[in-house]
Amino acid sequence: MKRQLGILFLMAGALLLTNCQKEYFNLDKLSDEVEIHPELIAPLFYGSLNIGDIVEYVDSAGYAREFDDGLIYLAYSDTVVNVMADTIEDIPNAVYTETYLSADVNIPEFTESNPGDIVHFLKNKIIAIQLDGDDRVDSIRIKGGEILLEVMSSFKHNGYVNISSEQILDPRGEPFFVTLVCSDESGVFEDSGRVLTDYYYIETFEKGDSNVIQIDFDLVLTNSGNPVDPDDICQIDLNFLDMGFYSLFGYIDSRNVFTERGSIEIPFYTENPELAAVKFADPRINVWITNSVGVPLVITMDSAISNGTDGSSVTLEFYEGHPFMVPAPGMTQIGSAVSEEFHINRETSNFNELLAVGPTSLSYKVSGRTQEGTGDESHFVLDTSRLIIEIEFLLPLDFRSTVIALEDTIEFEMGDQGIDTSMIRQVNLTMSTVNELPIKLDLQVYLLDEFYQVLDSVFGDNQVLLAASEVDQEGKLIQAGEEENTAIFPAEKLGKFEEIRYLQVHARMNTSELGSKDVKLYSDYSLDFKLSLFADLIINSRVL
Amino acid sequence: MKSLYKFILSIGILAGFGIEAGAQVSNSLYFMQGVPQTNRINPAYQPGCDLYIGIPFLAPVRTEETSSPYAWSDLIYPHPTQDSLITFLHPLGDKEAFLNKLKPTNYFLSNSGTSWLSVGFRTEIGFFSVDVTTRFDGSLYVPGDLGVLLINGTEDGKTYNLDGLSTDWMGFDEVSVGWSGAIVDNLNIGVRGKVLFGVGNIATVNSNLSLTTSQDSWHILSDMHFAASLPFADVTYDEEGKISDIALKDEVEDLDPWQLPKYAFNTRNFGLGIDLGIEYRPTDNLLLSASLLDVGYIKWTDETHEMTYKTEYDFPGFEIDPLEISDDFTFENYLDSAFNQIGDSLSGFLEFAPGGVYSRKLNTKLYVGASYSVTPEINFGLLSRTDFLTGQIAESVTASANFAVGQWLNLTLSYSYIHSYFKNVGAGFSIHTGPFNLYVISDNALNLVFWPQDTRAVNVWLGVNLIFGCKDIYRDRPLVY
Repeated sequence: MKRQLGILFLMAGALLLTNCQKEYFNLDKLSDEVEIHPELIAPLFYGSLNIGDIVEYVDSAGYAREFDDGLIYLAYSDTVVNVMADTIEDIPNAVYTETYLSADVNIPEFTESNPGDIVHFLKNKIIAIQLDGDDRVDSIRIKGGEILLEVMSSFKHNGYVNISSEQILDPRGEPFFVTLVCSDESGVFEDSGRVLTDYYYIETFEKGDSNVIQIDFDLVLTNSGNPVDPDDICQIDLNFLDMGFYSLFGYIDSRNVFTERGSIEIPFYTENPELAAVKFADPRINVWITNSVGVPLVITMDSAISNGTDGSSVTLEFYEGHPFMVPAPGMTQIGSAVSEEFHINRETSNFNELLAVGPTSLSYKVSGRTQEGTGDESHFVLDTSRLIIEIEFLLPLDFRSTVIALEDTIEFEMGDQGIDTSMIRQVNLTMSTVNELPIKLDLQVYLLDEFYQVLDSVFGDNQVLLAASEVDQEGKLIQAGEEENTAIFPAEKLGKFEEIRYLQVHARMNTSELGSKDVKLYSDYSLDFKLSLFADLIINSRVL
Repeated sequence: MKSLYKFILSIGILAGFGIEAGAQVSNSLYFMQGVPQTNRINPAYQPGCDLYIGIPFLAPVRTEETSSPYAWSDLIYPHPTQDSLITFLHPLGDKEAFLNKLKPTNYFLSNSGTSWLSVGFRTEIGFFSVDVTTRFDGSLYVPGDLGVLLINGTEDGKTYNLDGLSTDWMGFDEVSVGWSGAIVDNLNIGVRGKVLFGVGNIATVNSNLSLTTSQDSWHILSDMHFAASLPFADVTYDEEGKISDIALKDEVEDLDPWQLPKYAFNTRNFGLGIDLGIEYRPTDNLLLSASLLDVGYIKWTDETHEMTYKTEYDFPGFEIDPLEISDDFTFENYLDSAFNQIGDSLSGFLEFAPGGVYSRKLNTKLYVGASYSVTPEINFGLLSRTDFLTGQIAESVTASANFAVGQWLNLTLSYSYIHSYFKNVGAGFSIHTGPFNLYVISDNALNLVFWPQDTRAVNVWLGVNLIFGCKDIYRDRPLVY
């Protein structure tokens, strides 16, 4: 019995103790709040930007190109002159008249003839094809045009006229020959006819100081028995109208061929006036002239003026190589063009002064003349001949710069919610770069409120984002620059993001070795970057 | 990922199956008097009665749940200032203490079982027993670094060793025949042969996983191999060879009594096992004993599936070309694409395959004990138990005092060192009246009474038997039986 009482005593005590431990198991009182403070370190993004790709992306207008060795250059080009052959030579309309007077008919052969007899009256006319100045025509292949033949006769006899020329050949190569009724017995006769002259060929012969053609007239009258009055006349007009040429051979006398004015826009400086401080090693203007006119020309570039962003301007002055003497294709190169390239650079002109103003445009006047005194008087012009002058304002990215300061303010808004900082104690973003560009970049981003008051900055002081690469004496890459930066965003800074309305970006750039030497930008240079994250988080179930 | 989710879900199904079955192996039972099923722990043990018949599903019911690193009070405890409870994850919770308790590998065990049939009878050549038992053994191994990773996050330059992250769940039916007999007067030996029929299994064949984190890259090194036998489920594979669906078979879900036996005694998942025991009494008061249980395996061949995840993956961040970002392809589009790409890459290493044959051994246990009888009613015992787990050895030691109160009541009190925890005080009783025998034993019974919040392991062994032929034995009871 004692044992049983002892057991009961033990059981009672156990129950008492059990009650003491209940507090651990009353799950109705269990808080469901969970909070952990994990840290997260992780790589976020990485990549490699090829400079050629960057340039292609930025340069939507297609100003950037690269040389065969990959050196990038900027080119702003324009076609300043594009003149056709008809600007150089033109065939004017002309009228050539042959007249038969009564005296020409009242000759014994006719006066002594019987009615019904046929009598020929022969004449010829030497004509010179008139062009500008002292131009000389050796031959022309006519394009289009016509010869309008007009006759008027008061002779009271039936008759016709044969007009011919050995120097004018039809497209089949046959000499020109036209028969036209020119008279009748009424004594009042007028008529006309036309000959389309496309692809007719005219070849002159030399007579005295001129090159001429001869046109023969054969007036044929049938004696009607009527008399020939003293004032009777038969007039034949040959109107050479609207003639162009497929080809024209001869000599083009010295003359002004064209004068053009224009302007080349240079967005490089328009959009980045600060880049006027960049000193380019080999800037230049390339002048490309293509000439298929068989006449040597001389091109003069007058009044080339660079207009700076500050309103200043500098006139281009040539030290040498100007005007530009443009050769012509020879007789063995008919139909071909000859090209010539002229360079305006620091050696041949005051080009540096032009760039120093950060030109937003280059205005110019270009004129062209045929060359004098070449000794060659055999010229030609085809209907397809033309003269093209293109100007290329070219900036190879071979340059140096001590400091380029860029600043921009951009709108930025996180939205009404801003960043939920309830779960973040701090976020660090670390950017590692391997930079083959010979450019150092310091960057600071200021966070501004709606009143442009600075709330905070993203980076610490003197933050170097990109370290310039090391280059050799030729400005080529030796060793990439490496840099690692961390932007620290404690919760209080992140909390300010809600107020941010603007980001003010300050960037300072200089080329390698503080801009003391020229550096080159090649398209295969790359910028490798890696962005990683460190986050000190608070994850609380109550705020999820 | 959906497939992985379902794979894990199937673990839950098996777990639920096992927990419902309920029951466990109690160290305190080893020296307990008056319990026929003590022969489950030592086959050399002979019950004091000539015949016992266990009540189906109640002889015994046993369960054991073990957490190697944590007790309840490590997870939930009173608020320091308020009348409430908080978890270790609460802002005022001690997460460092939680993490400090983690070992390189931590395990959670769940073993349970119940017998449909438990019969024992004495013959001239010894004591025979026949049992049909449904057992469920489950384990989950969690590397300590996983907890560190989840709570503290990732640290620069640190390698998180997640080797051993694994799980093993096994449900099977065991048909056993045991014999115990005396070799000489003071030496008994016992053996129990077991035929095993696997119901279902999920096994970790190999588990090597590490994660190294730094701001430059995350490096994942994985060589993991899981196998499963799920005869009770329909597993569907999609065109890419991934598991797209796992669903219980209709006849299982409907508990069709004509179909269930083929799952319960599935000969395609066949196994063999053996238990061995020995008792040696050098003096009348001293009993030395030892047993080796669950030496065996099951060969799983029915509805087997394999999943491997083998990769050496380096994540250096998302590769981005800022020049590709445009109005037509926004940064959000890019992130979607990048995450999908990574997801595809990582899941691409996950390979599923139906078929295959694999074997899993049982978790073998070794008991070594000694007991000393002070009087016929009182004895004291000391027991060592060693569990041979997957890549782990779990040791426990139990000291017990066993009392007989007349012929109708046996009591035991025990103290155990289990899974590195010292405060396990167990108790048990066995009541015998008429042919009825009822017993309840637990190694942690008093823990649950006095400091339940500090308990890391719970086990309970309950049984109801009909026993016969005990009268003479009680009258002429040996000093210890």
